[in-house]
Amino acid sequence: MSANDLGSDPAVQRRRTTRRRNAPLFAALTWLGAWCCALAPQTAHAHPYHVTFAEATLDEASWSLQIAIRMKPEDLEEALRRSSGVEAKLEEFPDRAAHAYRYLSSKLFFERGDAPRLPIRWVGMELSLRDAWVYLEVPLPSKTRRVTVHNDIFFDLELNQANTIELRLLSEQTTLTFRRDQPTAIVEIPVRVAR
Amino acid sequence: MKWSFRTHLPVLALACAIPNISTAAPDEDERPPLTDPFRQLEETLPTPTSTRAASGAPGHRYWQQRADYNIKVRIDDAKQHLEGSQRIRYFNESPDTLDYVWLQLDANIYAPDSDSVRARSTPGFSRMPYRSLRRIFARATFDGSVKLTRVQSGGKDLNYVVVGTMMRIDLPKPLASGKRVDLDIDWHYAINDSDRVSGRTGFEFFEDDKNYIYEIAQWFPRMVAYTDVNGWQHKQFLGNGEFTLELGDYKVEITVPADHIVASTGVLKNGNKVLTSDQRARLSKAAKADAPEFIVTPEEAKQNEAEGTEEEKTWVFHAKNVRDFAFATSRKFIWDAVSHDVNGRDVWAMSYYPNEGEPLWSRYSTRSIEHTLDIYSRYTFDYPYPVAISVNGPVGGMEYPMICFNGPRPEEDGTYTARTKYGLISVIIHEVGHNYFPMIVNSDERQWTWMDEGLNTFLQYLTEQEWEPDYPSRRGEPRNIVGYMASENQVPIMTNSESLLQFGNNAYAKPATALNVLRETVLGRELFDFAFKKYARRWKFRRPQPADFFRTMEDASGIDLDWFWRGWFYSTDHVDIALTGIREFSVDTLDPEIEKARDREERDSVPESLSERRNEDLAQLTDALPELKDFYNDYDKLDVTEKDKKWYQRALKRLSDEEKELLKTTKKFYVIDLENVGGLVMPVILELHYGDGSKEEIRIPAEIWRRDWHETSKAVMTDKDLVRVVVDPHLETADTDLSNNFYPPKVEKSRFELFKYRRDRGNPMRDAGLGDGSVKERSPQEKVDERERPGK
Repeated sequence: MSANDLGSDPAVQRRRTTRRRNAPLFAALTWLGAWCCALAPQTAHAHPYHVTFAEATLDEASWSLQIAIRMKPEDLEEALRRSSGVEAKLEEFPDRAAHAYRYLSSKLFFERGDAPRLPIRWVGMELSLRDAWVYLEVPLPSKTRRVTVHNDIFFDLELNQANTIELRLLSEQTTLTFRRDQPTAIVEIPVRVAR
Repeated sequence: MKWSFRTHLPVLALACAIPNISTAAPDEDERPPLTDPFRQLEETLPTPTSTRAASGAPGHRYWQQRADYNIKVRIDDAKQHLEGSQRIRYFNESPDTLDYVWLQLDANIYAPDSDSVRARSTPGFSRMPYRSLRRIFARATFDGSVKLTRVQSGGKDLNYVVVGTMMRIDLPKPLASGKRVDLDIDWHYAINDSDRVSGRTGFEFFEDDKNYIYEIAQWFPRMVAYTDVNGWQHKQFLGNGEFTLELGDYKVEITVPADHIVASTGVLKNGNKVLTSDQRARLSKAAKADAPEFIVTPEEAKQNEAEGTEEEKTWVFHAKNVRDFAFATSRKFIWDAVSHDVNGRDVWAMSYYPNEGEPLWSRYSTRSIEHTLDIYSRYTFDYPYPVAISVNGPVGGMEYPMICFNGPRPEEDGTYTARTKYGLISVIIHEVGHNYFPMIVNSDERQWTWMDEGLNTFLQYLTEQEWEPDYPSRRGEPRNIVGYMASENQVPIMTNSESLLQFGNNAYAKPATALNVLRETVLGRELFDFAFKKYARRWKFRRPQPADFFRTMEDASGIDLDWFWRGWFYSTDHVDIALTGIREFSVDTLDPEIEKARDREERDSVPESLSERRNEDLAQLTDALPELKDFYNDYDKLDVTEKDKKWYQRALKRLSDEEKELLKTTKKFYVIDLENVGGLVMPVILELHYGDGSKEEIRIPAEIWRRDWHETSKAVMTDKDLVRVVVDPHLETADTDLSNNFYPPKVEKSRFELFKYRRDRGNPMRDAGLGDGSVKERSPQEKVDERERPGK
């Protein structure tokens, strides 16, 4: 099987010149849920690397989570195509950062109980042949003790997607892994010490 | 952390200062739960047998089954349907008598209720794109499973039972060792539309010209492997684990529309009937050419697309000693070819692709095939088949004997990104490379994905690095895998294909990186290349198991690598070697004039404390009452006394001349303390920087950890001052945490910080005053916020 990183299903890694993709019509399917997915097609053939890696470090000075996410450019490209309806290569994607921010902030977010989601700041993006890196920042209110992290990046592309965050909270370091059956993780935030 | 203190060694302890000095280990409870990483693998590996030797070579009674196929297949282009009829001649080379045989029916994975579908875990999302929904409904309604219409032997119907993607056929009489049986099977099935039901086979429809490309694989009832290790290989096809089959000879007649071009495993035997005279003439020219020649030109393919026909032609292919057979067919195909010399043997390198693949494919595909054959043959064995083919169609990347399917295409306007270009070259190298592993070195990829994907990805890396300088290889370099290695929730490489977590990193990237580390850091190129080639040649056209690989690499290199296999293949430990301290030692000359002077210097170098400094002006009682002073007020224990000198002379008399010479050395001794934080033992590479600006590299074998795999130390003897030490200076060990690799300590910026630093350096042109000052960039969230404002 291919080790070529060219998208998560065969339609991803080639340019279909004669078929138009459907616009990003999202259907609410709460009632369909598990039944649909049990019948989902095998989509694991184009590349087998269905993972994202992120480093998230609590910056003591700003008391914010500084996040660097590493993704396959092909996966990000396909996600942006599907979510925006725009057919373009990632390198030439119009308003790429805005589309990436919109997509990623809907897939990776931080919640505190019933309070609104914590705002996510866009910091920047880097693109190479191997990787796409996106940098985000999440300021933490100083009294926050616990947040729920939700990460279902690319779950809309690939059934076997797994996302990993290497979380560094001052002296503590841990790995959070997000899968389709467990897209959230609870994180205990250390007490902020006044300086 | 303990940094740089100085100790005087007594002269007789000098010999002990040179080898490693283990420091005191922490309490047992504080240690990570490691077991001895150097424990031998004998207790884990299977016991050698007469079929598999302890050296890793095939045993003196090695055997494997054989299956020859004679197949007629027809593609119905109007209905996208495949119908086939075949005779399998199965040779029982095993010492066992077989009452029944098992066959693979891989197309049954496309049954709506296949195990592949039913065994999939339930996802948790409640919203999905329309396109995904469309595919889900297509998968729920499409039935591409095999419909068997005849299962016979000698003209008599046989009892058979279909079990998922497998079928048991009860033989009319037991098949004794050394005997053979003929099985006649007819079948048909609907071919999957890869746009809706994807897989390793299928068709692609082109709406503009109403034509199809078919890539047909895993399409006929195939004999299940029967081995000395597992008996029948009872592994259902669930999608990830690919396949393993018996080697044999094939004669295949492929009937397709008369205007189709067929690319196939094997050698075309009736070219005079299916090719035009122009095409045959071009093939003759390509046989002597230095560069690929068009056999079917882009213009001819375009013309083909526009015409169509109701007539059919039958293409006949023969293939010897292959473990499977695949083909592709379309009237859209351009075809280019060149005869390539592989160490004196002519091999047809050929590519088939539609105009949608141009100009990328004619520039890179066949050249990639040739390059792959050259490099892989150098590291393994000469490519033994007469043909190597790359086809562009609906399958993104999949390999079969002599033929592979590859997906990348350029944009509609013929342009392409660098990512597409290198993606195409890399996937072709990878898939053509699979001819070596596992098509010829016939490992079981349904059981052990790493044995073909890992080894092949490693060779892919070597091949890419000989394409052009700085080729952007994605896997192979240790630094590219540290994120995965450091993460939790892994399983060892030695895990069944269907149970792997993080499939690509586990079965492709990690073993490929491990082999690169083994080659560059542990064994060196000469030893590794000899051993790797030995493995490939021992198991060429045979069926190796993991132990055969591990044992051969040790057997041929002469190095005990059990620790390496245990760490990289049987554990999920990672490499993180920390530099925890530097201690400086010098030789005790015994001479009080020298030693006491050195001690005084050391004492005087201790900085004055804050209190001492502030107390300097305080009035002292002894100033007012000097009679309080006595001997001890003037005594300095570091003054050299007559007693010291006499003691020194007595000591010298007890030393031999050789020991006296040692006292004169001016060398310095540094002990470098190391901790194995990650658990995976590895060689330690140290870069030592000296005060005079020079540096040297010390490469310490992994065995330094054999007595204490948590902490160890290395002594260094030098004439110079050691000022800086770096662990793993070339990033060759996949060390996951570089922040603890430096003396003096160095703060490692996070990826985020590095990016901010680069970004904050700003735009050099604007900084230089070359802009007009009008630019005010909005952030992405400002753009999103603006669009999504109510009323927009």
